[in-house]
Amino acid sequence: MKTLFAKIKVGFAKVSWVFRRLINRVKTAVRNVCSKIWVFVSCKDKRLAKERVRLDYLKDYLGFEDYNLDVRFDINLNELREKLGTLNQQSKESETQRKKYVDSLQGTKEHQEYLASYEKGINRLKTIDQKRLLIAVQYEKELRLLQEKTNKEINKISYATSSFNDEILEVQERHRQEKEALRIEYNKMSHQIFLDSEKPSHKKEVEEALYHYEIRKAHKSLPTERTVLEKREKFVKAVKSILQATLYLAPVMILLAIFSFYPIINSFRLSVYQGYSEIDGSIAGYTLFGNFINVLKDANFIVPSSHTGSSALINTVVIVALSVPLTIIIGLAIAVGLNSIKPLKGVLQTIFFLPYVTNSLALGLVFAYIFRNDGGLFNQFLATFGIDGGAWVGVGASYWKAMFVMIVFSVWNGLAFKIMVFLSAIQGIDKQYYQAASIDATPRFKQFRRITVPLISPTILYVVITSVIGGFKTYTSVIALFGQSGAPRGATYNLKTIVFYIYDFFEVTGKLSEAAAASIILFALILLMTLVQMQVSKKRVHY
Amino acid sequence: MEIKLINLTKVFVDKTKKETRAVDNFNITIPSGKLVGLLGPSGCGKSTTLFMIAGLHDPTDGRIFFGEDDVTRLSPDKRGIGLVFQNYALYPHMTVRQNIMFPLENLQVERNEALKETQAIANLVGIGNLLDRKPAQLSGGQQQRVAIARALVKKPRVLLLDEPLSNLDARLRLQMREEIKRIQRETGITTIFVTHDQEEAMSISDEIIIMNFGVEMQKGKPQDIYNHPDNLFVAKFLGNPPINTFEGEIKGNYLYFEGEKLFPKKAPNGIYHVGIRPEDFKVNDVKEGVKVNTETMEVIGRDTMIRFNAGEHQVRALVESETVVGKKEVYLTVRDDKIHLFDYESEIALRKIQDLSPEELEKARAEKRIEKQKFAEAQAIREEKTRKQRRPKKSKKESE
Repeated sequence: MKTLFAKIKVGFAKVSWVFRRLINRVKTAVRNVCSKIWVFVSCKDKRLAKERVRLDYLKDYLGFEDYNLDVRFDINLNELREKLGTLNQQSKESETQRKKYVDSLQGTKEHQEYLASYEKGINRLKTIDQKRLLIAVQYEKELRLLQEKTNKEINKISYATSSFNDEILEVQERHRQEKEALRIEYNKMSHQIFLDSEKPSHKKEVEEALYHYEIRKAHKSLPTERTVLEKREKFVKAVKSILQATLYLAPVMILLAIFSFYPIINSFRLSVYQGYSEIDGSIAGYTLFGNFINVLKDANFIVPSSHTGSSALINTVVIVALSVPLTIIIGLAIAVGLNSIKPLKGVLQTIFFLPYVTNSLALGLVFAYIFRNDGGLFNQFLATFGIDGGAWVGVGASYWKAMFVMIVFSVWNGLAFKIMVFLSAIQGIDKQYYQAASIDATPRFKQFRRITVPLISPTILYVVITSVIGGFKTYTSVIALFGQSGAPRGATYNLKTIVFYIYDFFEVTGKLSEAAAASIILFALILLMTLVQMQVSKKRVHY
Repeated sequence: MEIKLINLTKVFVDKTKKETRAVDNFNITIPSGKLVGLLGPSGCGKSTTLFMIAGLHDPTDGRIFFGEDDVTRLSPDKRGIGLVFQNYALYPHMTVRQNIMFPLENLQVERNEALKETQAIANLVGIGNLLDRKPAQLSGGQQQRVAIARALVKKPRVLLLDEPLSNLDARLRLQMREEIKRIQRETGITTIFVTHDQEEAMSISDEIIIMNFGVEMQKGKPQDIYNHPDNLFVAKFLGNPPINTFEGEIKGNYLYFEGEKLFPKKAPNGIYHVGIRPEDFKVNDVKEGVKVNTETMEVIGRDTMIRFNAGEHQVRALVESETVVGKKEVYLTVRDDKIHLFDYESEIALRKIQDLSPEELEKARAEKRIEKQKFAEAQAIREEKTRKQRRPKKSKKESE
């Protein structure tokens, strides 16, 4: 047995090792792809080339005699910056001097001359800049080509021999020399442009000012290698985290897309079709509000029609308006009661939680039985007080009587969950608040009103919102109590809710577009109610 | 108002019917208008005692008197107490003003008057300008002031504070200590406060009661207790750096330790627990007493800590830096009355034992013996448990 376990263990270890290697490989692959994308997106060639041009200026000005110094790789940036520190000072001074000089020339003939010369100088620098830029771009390109070539060679060798050997070193050495030669060549070309270009003919001051000005500009925009690297790292990290998040969220997103987003979008789509046929998917045309108007004008949706005396909206609103406050008040009271009872706490909690695990259709049957005309428990109970209950859900029951049963049922149906939620919230309150309150001689009800309710107010808000939404979506309770007709037998009214109504459109008459429109109306109604509740709760809820 | 606890006992019974005596036959009298500290290590029953005085716990046995009234069976709200909880228990959803006014609302004080009183008490504790904030917007020290204000606003007969300073940082703690003392002095309310921090208790209390295992160890003024501990526990519990304790012998009015002659001490011959506070050592210029090498010493500003070995036992001495500067060796002595001797078996101070009758002494010794035995048993059980927990790990390693 022990050896078996050991073997299993080793097997798992192997699998996990392989798995980890796979993941690492994927990781590195993602990383490489990311950096390549970054290089592509950020136009690395051009950026580097611009940098080179800037640095060339600096190099020329600061008198680095050895123009073969590769600016990008070998230059001592610290030294350069040190020199530039003093240079900056000088350039600022010379700039102010220049301005003074220009001011002093104001109005004379020389002024015009000076300006022309200055412009010429700037143009010269710009042309040098451009020419150099072109050369630098060329250089970067060739450098990359060279790099790729060598990489390929090295890869070839390493695949063939599958180890690191002298051949690779040779290739690398050769590559280095080639790079060196290329660099020297391009640096020469770049410097030559600077030397060849025509120098401004005007006074020395103009020349100086120009140089200082341009160099300062160049220095300011000089990026350091570190910031460039950091930027790339940031990009890679961001891409990685996004990829990870997508990976983790993918299953949920896919399921939501199939079963939630698509139907929602689809119902919006359906609601603008006219004469949509379910069978072949053909439509007669489009209408923006036609279906909505149809639904709103329809008998029994908002306005009770003359012969029935009930409408889906009124039924739903009555159910919500009566059952939600009732469940919350009763649930809170029972939760507080349960919390203060010590003995048999577990048993009572189980009893109150039982309805939650019972199917609501089964509960409906039980209720239908309880409220039966003759022999129903409720009528028997009333009979002990000498009251004749009459019909509740059977033939001849009045609207409010049937509604009463309906509300009792939905209260009972939703109670268990609410008690559970309230109870757990109440148990989460620190006992010290009650100890403090009892020292301050707070009556029991005041403790409830001033301490318990405010402290669990977020939970109450949650329950109110969910139960209002649930109330608007009532459907199963009607089916469970009254069956498909949604009314006691032989009644002139019905207790159909909005969802029931939508279902009727969908199932009975087959008007899909109207059903979609009605469900959008319901959605808007619920959204509105929830927003109102959130707004009201801002003052009353303490987090 | 004077508070009297007579034979107060609290026994907690857990689910397995195991009894824990949190407070055991506790008898004390707390004088009127004084600030009294209940001090002890954690789990010694001091908070339980406080909650019994508050009425939040029902005592298993015994009585509690506030002045002449027996309040043992009275509910908390009828006792006229104010209680400040360890983590303040401020209602988070009410403003500071509502929090402080809450007790007054329950007493049905007229609103204008209540507002006036709230402002007055808030000014007293120094939060008069913060009344419209919520507790979450206050710092720890301010929250604590609110809690004190809430306890004081209904003018209680007794103010109870449960570890009031333990949630504050060191600097605030010092400040609030002074504040509590000032508030207590200004209002003149009998105040009991619970703490495990000896320094805190010593600095602000008029009187300290030291507890351990639910039993009063010693009661008195802070300095008296410090200078004359009644038993070994009190001696060890008070003082920072802690007292040096070892088993010594008195022979011919001299204190011996492992055969080494240390200091003169007038006492009957015998073996004792000896306690000497580090700061009671004095450097002697006459080259008498114990010779000590000053190589292992730490200078802490004004004072210097010298560690030296007596036998295998390390002893710490705290002396003034000036007296040891530049010396390779110093001679340390201790004044006769600064050497605390405790009976070897009962761990009661020698001066106390002289007052006891032989029977009482025997009883105390027997009790101590039982206690030690119990402690050893508990220790053994704990060790057994840890061994059991470790065993599976070991076996795993072995199998591998």
